[in-house]
Amino acid sequence: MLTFTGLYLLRNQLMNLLNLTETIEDTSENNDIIEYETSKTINTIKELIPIAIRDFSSQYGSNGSDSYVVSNVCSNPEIYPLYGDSTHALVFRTYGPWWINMPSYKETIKNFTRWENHFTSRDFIDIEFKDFTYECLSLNIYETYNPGSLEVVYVGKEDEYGNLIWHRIWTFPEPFSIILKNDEEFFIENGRQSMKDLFPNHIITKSSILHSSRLNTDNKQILNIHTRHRYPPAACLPRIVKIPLKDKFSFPTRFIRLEFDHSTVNYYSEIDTVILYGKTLLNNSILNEDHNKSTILSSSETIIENQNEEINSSMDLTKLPFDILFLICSYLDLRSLVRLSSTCHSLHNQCLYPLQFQSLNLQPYWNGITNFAIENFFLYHCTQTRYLSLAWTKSIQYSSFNQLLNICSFNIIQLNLACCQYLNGQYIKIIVNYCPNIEILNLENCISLNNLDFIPLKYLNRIRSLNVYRTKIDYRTLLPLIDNNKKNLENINLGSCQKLSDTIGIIKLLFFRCTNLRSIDLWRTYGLTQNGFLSLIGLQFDVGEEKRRILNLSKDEQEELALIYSIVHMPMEINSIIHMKYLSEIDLGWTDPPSGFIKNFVQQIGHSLIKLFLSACRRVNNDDIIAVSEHCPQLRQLDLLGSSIIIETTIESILKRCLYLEFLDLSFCDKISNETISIWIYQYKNCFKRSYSPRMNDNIYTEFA
Amino acid sequence: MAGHKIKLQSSDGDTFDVEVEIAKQSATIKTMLEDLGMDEEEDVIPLPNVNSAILKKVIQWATHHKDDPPPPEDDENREKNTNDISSWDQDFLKVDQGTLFELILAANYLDIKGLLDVTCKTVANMIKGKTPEEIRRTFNIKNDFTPQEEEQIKKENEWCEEK
Repeated sequence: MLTFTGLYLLRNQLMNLLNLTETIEDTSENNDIIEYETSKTINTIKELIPIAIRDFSSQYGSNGSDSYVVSNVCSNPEIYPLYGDSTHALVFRTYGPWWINMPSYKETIKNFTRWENHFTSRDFIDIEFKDFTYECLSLNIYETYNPGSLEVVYVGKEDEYGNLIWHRIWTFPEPFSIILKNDEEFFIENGRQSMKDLFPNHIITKSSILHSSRLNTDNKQILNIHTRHRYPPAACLPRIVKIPLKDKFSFPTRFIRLEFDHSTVNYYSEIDTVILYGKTLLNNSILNEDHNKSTILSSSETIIENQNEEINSSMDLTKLPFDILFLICSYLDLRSLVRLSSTCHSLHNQCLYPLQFQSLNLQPYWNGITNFAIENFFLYHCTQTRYLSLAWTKSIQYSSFNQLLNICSFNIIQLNLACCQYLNGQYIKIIVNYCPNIEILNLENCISLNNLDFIPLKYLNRIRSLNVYRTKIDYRTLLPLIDNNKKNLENINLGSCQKLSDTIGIIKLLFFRCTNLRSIDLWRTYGLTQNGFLSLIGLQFDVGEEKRRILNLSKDEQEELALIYSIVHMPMEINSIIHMKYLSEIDLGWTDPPSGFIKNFVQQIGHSLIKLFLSACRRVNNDDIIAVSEHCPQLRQLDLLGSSIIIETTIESILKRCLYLEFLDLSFCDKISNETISIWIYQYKNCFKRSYSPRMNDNIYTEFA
Repeated sequence: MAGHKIKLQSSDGDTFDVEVEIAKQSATIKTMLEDLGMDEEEDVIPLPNVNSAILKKVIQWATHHKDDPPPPEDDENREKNTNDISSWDQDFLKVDQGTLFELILAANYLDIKGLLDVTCKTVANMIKGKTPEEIRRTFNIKNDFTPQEEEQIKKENEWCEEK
């Protein structure tokens, strides 16, 4: 196709597009905050950088660190126009299909059967800017690694009580533009942004052999993932995504929310910064405008009536038997179901039957779930709800939460409260009091809860899956909880938990007692010592050091720990872990196990292992990985990022023996050359991952590998 | 045995010769044949709830799908995706609404899971993404709410609407 109708090259027309020519002359050179003040300070255009992150869903880096954390967007561009993996960028915890396709994740979504096809976001970040912008012109997002995953943009409006009301103003693939490093601007009308789309008249060259279509088998992995993005979503170039905001809304704002769907990117998506352009002083013309929400221009849902149906039968929708109507309703997303129910009395009575709400995923509706909604809608319809997700919801008052869980009570089997920052200890008590049958509980990223708030959870005794990623939960809750659920526990995520206090004890109890454990995520879990690792799997360890570890706790904690140890009959030593025969996923990223640990670990329980993440575990040696190749015949995902020990023959042995291997991350492995990887790419059908530090490409028509 | 035919009789008296294997996609007919020991050659199976226009369509559908793998037993826990309708089925279901609803009723009565699913999905797709008023127009539904009731419902349902 010679003419790309959806793609217009608008070189040097940036200013015209935004109608800015009268007020600003040049924004591309100066990255500092610049003010163009006209005589009477009416049209002051500002370039604002984020000052704080209000809320977010996940991050690659640790709390308190400044590497790979979301707060890295709070600065002027630091990486752009370089392209690559940078510690100074915002990076989310996961990417692509690799986590989504693991059994532990599938387990958490399989009960939510209603197909919410309009919601494909996987991560979010709520950004705060310093000053109110009265007339927003554009939002510029600096994408410096694996671009193209932006899904939704919201702007926040503060009400009189300081609450934020989020207004959706852009959804992929609505029009936007991208600016490349030579300031060339491309208008993207249909979401297509591959090299071929951007430069239809150029012969595309690859910057290296690693950029081969055979590098990745992501393609196969994303087949069953519902997403609006192509694979890969965009050309791998450093770029500024410009979301037009002019005339999209008319209230002053300093809050922007971005949602991402990174399920089709090749590797971690990284954002350098996010800049908001607009007028920070009130313009007279704006004052007169209507501030209500009807000024939001919604372009997402225009429906075209396609056919005038001739009806020659007396049968119609409202006359269908209840069971058939029920089946039809089960195929509707919640919004469509609710809209159908508001067409007439008969459908209102039938569509909102409680069994339609047996599985209730409200994450796609996080923005609308208010106390009013709970008290006036859900309390009437949730009497049969078994699977409930309130993930990402912003504020549910104690009384509403209390009533809702009271209605569901014994029925609740799954409860997802990911990123619910309004939770406190009272809420946890309600959960435990009303919902003793919970099997799957997700509290990831609920950082408002302090360590003691979690304690009532220890009384739950049917827990199969527990996700407390990035929370302040500690041993007081976890040790008794693990003991109470030793036969049930299948999946546990303790990733980025920094205040476990007795990390070794917790994992020891898990390994010793939980014979049904399928997956354990210890990504950046704090408090794992070398000696502790050895004590977990029956290896020789220093008993004295183990005792000193406990003695380092405060006096109160020591006493409490001793008491809990005696209650749960804490094993003093573990001789073997061969009883954990179902373990299939383990993430030890950034926990630094000693040499020999992995060897012994996989010798005992490697046979069912399908995922082994050893990112930045720099002591893991060649013997360890050879043992993996010998004892893990089922292995599908192996991450060895950052190893300067592992050599090529070791990897050869993995490639030859692990026949189901799909994913192998060899980023920053010094002893393995790009040349060898490119040979492997042709030899083996795995998905090799290889990232690199930010770099420059001279030729604009060359994509980064 | 494959190739053997049975006779199906519609509510308006027409009979259709259908291969046993095709007819057996209907669990209702399958049960009649197997459990009640009906003689395939001789007897006519009466289907008093299906008229001949619809029965013809059902047979056409079943003939096309005779080699499909059996539907998975337990689909309790599967996401109810509606964009996986094959293009043949999409074309097949380009019919007026009356016919579509009659097909649903027939699929339900004859217990043909595949046909019931695909017809219900088709109706769901006609509803998805539409406003209440657009749904009313599409299905000729009479709005019998009072303005006060309508206002009340709108408020109760506000949570699912994008701001």
